[in-house]
Amino acid sequence: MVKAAASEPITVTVSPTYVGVELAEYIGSLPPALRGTEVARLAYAGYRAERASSRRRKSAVPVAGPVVVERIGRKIAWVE
Amino acid sequence: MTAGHAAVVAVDVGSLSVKGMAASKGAAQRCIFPTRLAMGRRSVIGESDVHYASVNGDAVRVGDRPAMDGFVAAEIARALSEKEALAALIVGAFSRLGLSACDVLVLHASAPSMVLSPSTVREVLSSATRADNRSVEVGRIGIMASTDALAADLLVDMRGEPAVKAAPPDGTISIVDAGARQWRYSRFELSGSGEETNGAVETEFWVERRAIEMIEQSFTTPVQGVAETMASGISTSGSVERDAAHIIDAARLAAWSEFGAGFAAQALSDKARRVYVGGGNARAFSAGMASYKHIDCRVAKQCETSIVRGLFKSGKRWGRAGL
Repeated sequence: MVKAAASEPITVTVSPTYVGVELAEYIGSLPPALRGTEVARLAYAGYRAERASSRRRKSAVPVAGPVVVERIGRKIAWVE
Repeated sequence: MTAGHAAVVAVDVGSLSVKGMAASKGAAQRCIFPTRLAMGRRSVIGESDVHYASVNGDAVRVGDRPAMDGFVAAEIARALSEKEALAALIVGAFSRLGLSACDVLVLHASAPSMVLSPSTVREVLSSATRADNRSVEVGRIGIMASTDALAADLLVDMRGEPAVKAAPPDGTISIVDAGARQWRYSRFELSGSGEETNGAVETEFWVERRAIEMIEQSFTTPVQGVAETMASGISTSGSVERDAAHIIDAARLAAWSEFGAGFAAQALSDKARRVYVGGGNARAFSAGMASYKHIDCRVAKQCETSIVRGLFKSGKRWGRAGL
């Protein structure tokens, strides 16, 4: 595990002009001890969302040969 | 909806046996009987299992017990024309299903003498009536090829919706109908263009002829009823029943080396990795395919009735479109 001393502390400015009104209000509403980790958590969530590939997401199951199914249907000779 | 009226009826007139399937409310009914027509009534007490059709006022027994011994391709009374024979078989299927009318009828006939075409099918149907001289009332009639019916059996479920889990989503699949008279295939490209290749090989009852010959040699009694023997694997002569399933299996294996392997090479043609087999001799095909480890060979459940099931599913899916 990485020790706390090994990481450099960074400073993030949280103000309506830097991060937007909505996010600044949300951070401001939190208890001061939680603000740092919450900013880090949101940053990581954003990073994950941007890097998410369509391959890793579960795709819809394609219905077996819908083209073929309808093609077979069209081949039936109907007599009214 | 009155009694004797069904929404969808499917009839497959095969070379050996006629298969019928119907649904009105709830469960589907089905019937299967030998392709066999004989003129006149049978004077037997308690003949409740005999079904009649009527051609020009004459009674015709449909799918009755065999009258001839040994290998017979089909016992169709000579007095009947091809049209009348086909109509009598279809009417017989309705009689066995206990029906007199339907909204949608889907048909397939494989015998070369019984050709169904859209222009003549109404005329054909009207040439035979039920035993009570009333004709069968049919709303819409659909005619399908056997490999199309098998493809529908694979790709459509019993409610008439595309089956999601049954079939692979892409690649090429070969649909094989291993019948008595012909083995046919259709190769479908499931994704993209939907390209299709068709072909067939004439077998002319090779499996049945061989099986009946071998049974007669080993049991030294004539076989009565080719369709019954092939379906049940039991050879009946007089009151003695003998198990002939292993002999029929041997005949099917011989069929594989005779023409099965060549047919499979044609049907697969380097492209298809999946095969769906139906029809009465599907086992003959799949037994040979067991050695092709890279091919996924699926045999239709209850392969003898797989074509009629496909016709029925097609009727469910497309039959009501125009109503």
